[in-house]
Amino acid sequence: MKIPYSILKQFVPTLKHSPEQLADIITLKSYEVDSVYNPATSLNNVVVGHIREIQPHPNADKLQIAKVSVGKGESLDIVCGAKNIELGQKVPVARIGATLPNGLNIQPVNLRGQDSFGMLCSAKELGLDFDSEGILILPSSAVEGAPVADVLGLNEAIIDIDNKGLGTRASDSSSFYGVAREVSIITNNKLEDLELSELPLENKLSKKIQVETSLCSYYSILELSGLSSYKFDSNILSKGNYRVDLYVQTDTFKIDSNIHRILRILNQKTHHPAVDLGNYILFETGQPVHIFDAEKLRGNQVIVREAKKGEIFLSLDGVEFILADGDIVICDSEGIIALAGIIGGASASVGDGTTKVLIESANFDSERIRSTARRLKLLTESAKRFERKIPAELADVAIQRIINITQKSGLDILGYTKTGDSTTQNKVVALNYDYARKYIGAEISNNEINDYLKSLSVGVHKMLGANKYKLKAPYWRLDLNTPEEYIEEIARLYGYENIPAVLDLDKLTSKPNTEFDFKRKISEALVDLLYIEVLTYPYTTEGTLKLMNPVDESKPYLRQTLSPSLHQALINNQRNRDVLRLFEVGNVFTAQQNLHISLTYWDKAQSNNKNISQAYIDFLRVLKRIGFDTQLFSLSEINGTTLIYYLEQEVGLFNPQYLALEFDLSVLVSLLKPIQEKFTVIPKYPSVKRDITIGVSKDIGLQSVYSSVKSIVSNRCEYIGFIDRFENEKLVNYTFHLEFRDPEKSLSDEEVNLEIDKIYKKLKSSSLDK
Amino acid sequence: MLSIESVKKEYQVDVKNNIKISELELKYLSRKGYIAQLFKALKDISPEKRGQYGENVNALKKDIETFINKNKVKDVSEVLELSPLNPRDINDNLGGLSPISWLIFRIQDIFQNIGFSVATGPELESEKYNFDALNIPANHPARDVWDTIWVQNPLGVKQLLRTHTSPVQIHYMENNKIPIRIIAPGKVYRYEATDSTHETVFHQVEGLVLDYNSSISTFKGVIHYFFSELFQQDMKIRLRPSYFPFTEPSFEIDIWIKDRWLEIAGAGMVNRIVLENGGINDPDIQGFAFGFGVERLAMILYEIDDIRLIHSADIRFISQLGKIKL
Repeated sequence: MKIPYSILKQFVPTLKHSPEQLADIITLKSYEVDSVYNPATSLNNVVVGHIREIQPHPNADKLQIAKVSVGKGESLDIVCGAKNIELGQKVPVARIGATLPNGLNIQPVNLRGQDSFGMLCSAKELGLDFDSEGILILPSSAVEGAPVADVLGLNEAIIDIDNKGLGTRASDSSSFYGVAREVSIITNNKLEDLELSELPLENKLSKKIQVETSLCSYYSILELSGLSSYKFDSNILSKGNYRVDLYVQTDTFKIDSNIHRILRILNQKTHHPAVDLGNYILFETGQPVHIFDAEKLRGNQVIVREAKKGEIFLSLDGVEFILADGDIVICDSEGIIALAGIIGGASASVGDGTTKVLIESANFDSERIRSTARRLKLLTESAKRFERKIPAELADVAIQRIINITQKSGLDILGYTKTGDSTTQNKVVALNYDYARKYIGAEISNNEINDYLKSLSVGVHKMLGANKYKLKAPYWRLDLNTPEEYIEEIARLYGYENIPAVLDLDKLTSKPNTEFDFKRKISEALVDLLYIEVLTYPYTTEGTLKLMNPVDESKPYLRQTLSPSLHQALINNQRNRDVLRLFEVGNVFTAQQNLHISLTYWDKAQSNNKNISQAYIDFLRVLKRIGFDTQLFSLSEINGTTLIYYLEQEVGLFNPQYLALEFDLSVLVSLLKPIQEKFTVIPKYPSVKRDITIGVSKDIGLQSVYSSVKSIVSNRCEYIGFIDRFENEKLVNYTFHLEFRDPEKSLSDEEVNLEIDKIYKKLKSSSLDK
Repeated sequence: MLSIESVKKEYQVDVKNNIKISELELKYLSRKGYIAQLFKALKDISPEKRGQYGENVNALKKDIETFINKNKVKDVSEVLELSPLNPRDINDNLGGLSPISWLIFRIQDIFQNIGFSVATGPELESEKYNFDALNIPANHPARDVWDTIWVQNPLGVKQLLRTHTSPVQIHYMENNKIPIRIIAPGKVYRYEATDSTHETVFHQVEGLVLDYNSSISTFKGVIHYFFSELFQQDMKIRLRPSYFPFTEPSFEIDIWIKDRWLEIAGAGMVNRIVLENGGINDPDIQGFAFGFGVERLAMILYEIDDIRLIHSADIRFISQLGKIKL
C-alpha cells in the first residue's frame, strides 16, 4: 500500500518527521515499510520543452526534426517519430544523460544523417501507466525547462507499506486514513477528522435493492446526476493523444485536481471522473465502491444473489468468466452487472456519455470474495480489501465522503437507499494486566497500559479484581479479539526496544537426538577422511511420489535414493579433479522417509573396483569409530546389485551403475549397541604370519571358503585376511593371509605348520577342496 | 617357469652386486615380486607336494626379509629431501562439509549450551501439520505467503512438501512435556521461480521454547545470545512488529551488520490456538517460537552471492568453505 507523504500531512498536519524518519518509526511500531521513494527521481533530467519549429527530416518520411526550447535560451534539435506533435506544444524532453524508468539512457544520436540531442517522451516512457504511443502533451501553462515530474505533480515522497505483512491488521491499514490514524498515534500528533457529510435521508431511488444472500451484510446505493456537461473529447483521448490537463479542467464536474495527482502517483489509470473518484475513495477510506451507469441498468431492481454454476459474466474490460455456485453477483432485471466486491460488468459500465451514476457501497463476505477472486485470478484492489475483511461502518463513511467531495462540484443527489446492518460488534475482551506484564517481561504500569489502549480508541473498563480490565476495540480494529492481541498493542506502543533482553531460562540439559547426532558424527568423520559433502536436488524422473506442481517439469517425482544424483555430481566434478570423494546425507521419500547417506570415491588413476572398495572401507572405518562391529557386515549380490547387511539386516547397497554406496542411516543407527570400551592387554609375544592358497571348484564363492577356514583354525589364529583370487582352467584359487599368536609364549614354526596342515587336511576331507 | 631355486640364485647374485635395498624389496617382496609369483605358482604343484613347496617359499621369503630389514638402515645415507609443494595436492583433496551442515552444527552447539535439544520432523507433510494446526486455515489470505509444492501420494491422499519447519512444533508438543526447548533444523520447499536469492529447496532452523515464564524479554535474551555467539561479537538486535498466524504477537528480527539493519528471522509468542492444537491447554504455559533461513545466514557469513550454489554440488564452491574454526 503506497501512501503519499502529503496525504499523511493532510490528516496529521502537525507531523514533523521527514518521510524517512517516519518510515523508521512505522517500521518499529506498526508494520513493515517496503521502501520510501520519490517517483520524481526516476525523471531526473526530463524537462518541459516548448516546440518552436517542426521540419521534415530530409532522409526519412516518418521522422521530423523538432526545435525545442528547454529554458534559459537553450534550444535542442530533436528527431522525433511521433505524429502528434504540433507547433507550440509543451512536451517532456529527456535530456542527454537522463535515464528513463524503462532503463533507456539518453545519448546524442545521429538518425539518418541528422543529429538529435535528446528525446521527446510518451507517457509510457515516463513510467506512467497510460495507454499511449504518441508524445505526452503537457498543459500549456507548464514552464520551459521545469522538471516534468513537478508538472505532473510526482515530486513527493511515497511510503510503501508491505500489505502482505499486515495480516489481520489489513482492515485498519489498507487505506490512507487508516495509516494516517496509526501515524498520529505513534508520533503523538492529532488526527484530523475525515471531512464527511451527513448521510442523506433515504428517498426514492429509481431502483429497489433486493439482497437474496446472507453473504452481503449491508448494501447501499447513492444515485448522482449532473454529469451531463461532462464529456470526454474522444479526439483528444484517442490513443497517442493524451492530455494531462484534461483531468484538471473539466467543466462542471470538477474533482479536486489533487485527487488526479494522487491517482497518477499511485500509477492508477484515469477514467471517467466518477470512476476516478470511486478509486480515490477506495484508497482513502479502504472501502471499495462501484460505479454503475444508472441509465444502462435494466428494470427497477438491483439484486444481490449467489451465482449458479455455469453462469457467464462479462467484465467491464471485456473478459468472459464462467461462474461457480456461490459467487456473489449483482444483477439488474436482465442479468449480471457486477461480480460483487471484485469487478464491474460490461453491461452497466460507465463510459463517455454517462451522466447519471449509481454508486454502490456495500459489505460482502470475505471468504467468498477471496475464493472467487483467487479462482478467477481477479486480485483487484477491491478484492484484496474485501478478502481481508472490511468493517461494515466504512460503507457509510465512503458514501458520506463522496457526498462531501461532490457537493462542491454541483452534482445532485437523486436518491439513496440501503439495506442491512452497518455496525460492527467487536468482542469485549478481559485482560489481566499482570498477565500482560508476565507475557511481555517488562514492568509497564496500569496507567501506561491504559494510556496506550486509549490512544488506540479502545474502550477500557476496570473490572473487579486487582488488575483486570474489560476492553472493547473501535470498529476499525477487527483484529483485536484475544488478550494476546491486546498485549501486542501494548508491547509495540511501549516499544520492543524498551523491553529488556534477559537470558533467564531455567537450567535444562539438552536431550540427545540419536539420528541427528549419528548423521553429524558420520558427516564429520567422513570429512576427516577427506570426503566432501554435497547437496543435490530431490526431484527426479521416476518414482512413486509425484508432484502435482513440479518445479521442474522434466523431474516430477521425489527421489527414493540418493545415489543417482550423487553420481551426477561426481560426473559434473570430474572435469576439475583427478580424485573425488563425495557424500550426501538426506531424507528419501519412501514410506518411512528414512535418512540415507550415499558416498562415492573416484581416483582417475585407479580401477573403479578399487575405488568403490575404498569407499566401503572408509565408511566402515567411520562406523567402527562410532562403535559398530564391522565384522558383522556381510554382502550378497542380487542381479548385479550388492546388498549390504549388518546383523542379518539389510542396511545398504552398492549399485554399480552409479558407482556409489548407499546406506540407510535410520536403520543403521537402530542397530547400534551402546559401546562398552575395555582395554585388552597388548600381546608380549610376536605373531607368526603365513599366506595360504586354496583352490576350489568355480561354483564356490569366497564367503564360504573364508568361513570354512575360519571354522577350522584354533583360537591361536587371530587374523584371517583375503589377499587375492585367481582362476585357472579348473579351479578358482583364493589366497589368505593368516596370523597366529599364543599369549603365553613364542610360537615355533612347527606349531604353525601343524595349524596350516590342519586347514589343508580338513578342507580336503570336506567337499570344498578339489 | 619360475622355481624356488632360480629365484634363490638370482637373489644371491643381487646381494653380491650390492643392489639397492629398495630395489631388492620391490623385486622380491612386492605384490608382483618373485615371492608372490612363487606363491601364485602353488596352484600348479601337485597337492601332496604343496606343503613342502609352501614351506620352502616361506623360508626363502624369511631370509630375504631378514636381510632387507638388517640392511635397510644403510639406505638412509641416500639424500632425503622434501619435494617442493604442489598446492593442488593439498587443496584438491581436502574434505569439507557443505556450508549448510557446517552452520547447522554450529547453531546446534550454540543452542545446546543453553539447554536446547534437536528435534526433527518429516519433509513430506500433511496439510494439517503444515497449515491447519498452525492456525493457517484453508481459504485464509495468510496461506498465500507460502507457495506450496503439492504431492499426490499413491493412496490418493494429498500431501505437501513442508513449506517451513514450523510443523515440527506441533509434532513435538504432541509427544513431549513442558518444559520444551528445541531447535528443529531441516529442509523446506517452496514452489518458486529460482534466481540468485530464491530456491525451491532450502533449510530453516525452527526454535520453540515453552514453559511457565518465558516472555518477549526472554526471547530477546535468547536471540541476542545466539547471534552474538554466531558472529563472535556483541550483536545489535531489534524486533519489529509483524504478522504470522502461529504467533501473537509476531516479530521480525533484524541484526545490525555492515552498517545497516538486515532482516534475518521471524518470531513471536506462540499463539494460544497453536498451543491448543498441540494439546497444551494450561493457560499458565507460555513461550516463543522463531525461525530463520540457513542459506540466508550462510550467504551473509560467507558473502555468497547466489543461493543456487548451495545445491549445485560444485566442489569448487564447497571446498572453499567450512574451515575448522578454533
